Amino acid sequence: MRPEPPRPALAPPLGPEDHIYGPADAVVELVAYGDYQCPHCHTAHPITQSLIEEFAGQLRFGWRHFPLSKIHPDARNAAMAAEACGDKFWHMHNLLFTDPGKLSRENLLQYARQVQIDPQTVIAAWDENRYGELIRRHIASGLRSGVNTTPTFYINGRRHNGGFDKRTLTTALLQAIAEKSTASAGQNPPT
Amino acid sequence: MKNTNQGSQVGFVAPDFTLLEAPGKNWTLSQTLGRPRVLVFYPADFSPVCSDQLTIYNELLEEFRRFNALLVGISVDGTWCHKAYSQSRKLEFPLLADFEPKGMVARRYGVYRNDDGFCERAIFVLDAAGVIRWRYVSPIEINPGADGILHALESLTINHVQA
Repeated sequence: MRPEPPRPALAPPLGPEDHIYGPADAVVELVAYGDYQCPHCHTAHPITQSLIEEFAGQLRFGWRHFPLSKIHPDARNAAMAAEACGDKFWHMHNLLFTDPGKLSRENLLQYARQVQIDPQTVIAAWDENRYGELIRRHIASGLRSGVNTTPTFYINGRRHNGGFDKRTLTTALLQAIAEKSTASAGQNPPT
Repeated sequence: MKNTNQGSQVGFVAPDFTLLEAPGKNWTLSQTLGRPRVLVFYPADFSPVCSDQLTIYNELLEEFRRFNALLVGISVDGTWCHKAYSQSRKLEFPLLADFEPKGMVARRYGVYRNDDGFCERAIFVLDAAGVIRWRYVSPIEINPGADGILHALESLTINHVQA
């Protein structure tokens, strides 16, 4: 029998610095480390979107940047553009997954206009490397958490080692919900 | 079936070797003494898991340099194959060809897969004196990531400071 691969913990857990979509009291948490120019992340994006819809109220989703800049030269600029959009982050995040081949600076500024962010804000972020340190922290946390490719997912704080197809992720989320319910029931005093 | 080799265990001096890093260009382990070395044995150029694994290391070269560490990849592929692979993935660290005699270095490190004819997915972290301080053989289909390497390099630094 093959040994079970390790499931490193998400470190640090989601916190105030993270982009989180969904309720704070969600029973299940899905976190992705990803790269906006990575074709696998583009494949995963509509799947995570549909999971967010199907598990609405139960799931919260977090995103951390892990740009593989040497093979994806536009990924870092895209991550900075997303950060520069502030409270429009999720809107921009979704636009960045429109097409991995359309992430030139001009494309990114066009996306910024679409979410009604002044392109100068994005240009200033690039020029000043405004989110460079944040992205570095994301990458460092990914390394500590055992990120070994993009995307890498974490479910309730543990690395998901299976595939990211819809069925596999759905099964893993349902299992995490069931485990949490069992753990909660075990904590209740007998009546 | 795996080879085992006592000399490739933690606490032993890593076996010295010379391999080609490019057509006509040798790379010798003992000529890199004085800094930590990370030897990454991997099954094959262009395989999906190896590509994910090496791409992550390529992104992390700055992190490894913080420890003054040198990272090399080793597989049984030849130098021309390594060259094509390295160019396709934009790799910025040497890939060594354990090509002829096939897998000789992997055998000496106890990480050659006789049944398959290629290396295990194995990592050795050597200290500046060439002593093996961390050794990890991953299940072949699992990309071990970089966290173990970074922990090992940090441990070297801590031990160095304490000594």
